[in-house]
Amino acid sequence: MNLSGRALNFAEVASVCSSILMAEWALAPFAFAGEWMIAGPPLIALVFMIYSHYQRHETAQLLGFGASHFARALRLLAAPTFIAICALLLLDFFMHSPHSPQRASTRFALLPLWALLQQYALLGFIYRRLRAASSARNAIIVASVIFSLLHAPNYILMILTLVGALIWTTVYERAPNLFAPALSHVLLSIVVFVTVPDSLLPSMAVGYNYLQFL
Amino acid sequence: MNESNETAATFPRLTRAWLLKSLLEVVVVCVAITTAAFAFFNPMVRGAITQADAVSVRGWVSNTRSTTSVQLQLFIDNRFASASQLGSEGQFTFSYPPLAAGTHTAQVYLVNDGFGRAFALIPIARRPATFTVAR
Repeated sequence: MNLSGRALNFAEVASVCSSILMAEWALAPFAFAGEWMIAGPPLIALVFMIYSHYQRHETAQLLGFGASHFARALRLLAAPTFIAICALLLLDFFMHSPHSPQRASTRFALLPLWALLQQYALLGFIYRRLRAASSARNAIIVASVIFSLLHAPNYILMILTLVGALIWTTVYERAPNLFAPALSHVLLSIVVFVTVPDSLLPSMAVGYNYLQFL
Repeated sequence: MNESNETAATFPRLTRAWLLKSLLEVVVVCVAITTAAFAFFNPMVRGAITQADAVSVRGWVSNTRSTTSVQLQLFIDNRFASASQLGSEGQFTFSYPPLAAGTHTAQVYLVNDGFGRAFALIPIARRPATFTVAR
C-alpha cells in the first residue's frame, strides 16, 4: 500500500494525534501500574516524526531549531503575547480567586523543554504536514483546532490553546522558528498558572486525568 | 515557509513507517493493558471459603506475589461485613452477629493495593459461598 503525497501528509498528522490521544485517554487509566505506560505511543510518534523529517530531507534548521527567523518571529509574537498576558492579568484582577496546590506543584523547571516539544509537534510537524497539503489559512485553522482538541476535555485549556495555536501558527507561517513560539508558550503558561482562578482551571491535566477534577 | 524535498522513494518508505508505527502501538497498548491487568487483578491469589454459617466464615488464602501481610474483607450478601489483617498466607476466621433466617452468600476479598489512589478487591474463591440459616 502506497499513499499519495497529500494523503500521506494527512495520515502522518492523524497518526501522531492518535498516539497522543492513546496516551491521554486509553493508557492514562492504567498509569497505576507504571508511568512508563503512558510514554510508549508518544515516544513511538516522536521516532516516526524524526524519521519523516529524515525521509523528506527536512533539517533541524528548516524546522525552526535555529537562530534564523528568531528575531522576526519574536517581533511578530511580542504584541499578541503581551496582549494575552494583559488580558489574563485583568482576569486575575477582577476574579482574584485562590489557586490550587495541584497546579502550583507543576514542574516549572521542565516547562521550557515541554513548551519547545509542544511547539515542535504543533508547528514543526502537524502544521508543516497540513501546510504541504493545503493553503496557509486552512492549515492554520486545522492545526489550531487539532492542538486544542488534544487538550480535551479541559475546556478552558482548549480555549487558551486554540487562541495560542492560532497566533503561533500564523507567526510560524511568516517566520518559521520554534524557539520564539516556545518562549511565548512558557510566558503564557506561567501567567495562566498564576492568574486563571481554580474555579475555571482546576488543573492543567488533559484527557482521562482531567476527569477527576470535574 | 520553506518546503521539504521528497524523492520517489519517500512515500513508500513513509507509508511503511506509518504502518509499522501503528503495529508497534498496538503491541505497546496490549503490553500495557496486560501488565496493568496482572498488577491490578493479581491472578496469583489463591484461597477458599471452607465453612460459612450464621455467625462465622472460615477459610484460607495465599498470595504468592506478596510476602507482606494481606488485608481481607468479608462481604455478606454483597455488602461489606468485616475486615481482617493476615500474613501473606494462612487461615482466616470472620465472626459476626447471628444472621437472619434465610439464604445468604459470603465472599472474601483480598485488598490489592499499591497503585496510588486505586485499590482492587480480588475474590479469593471463584464463587461466593451460599448457605442457609434456619429459623
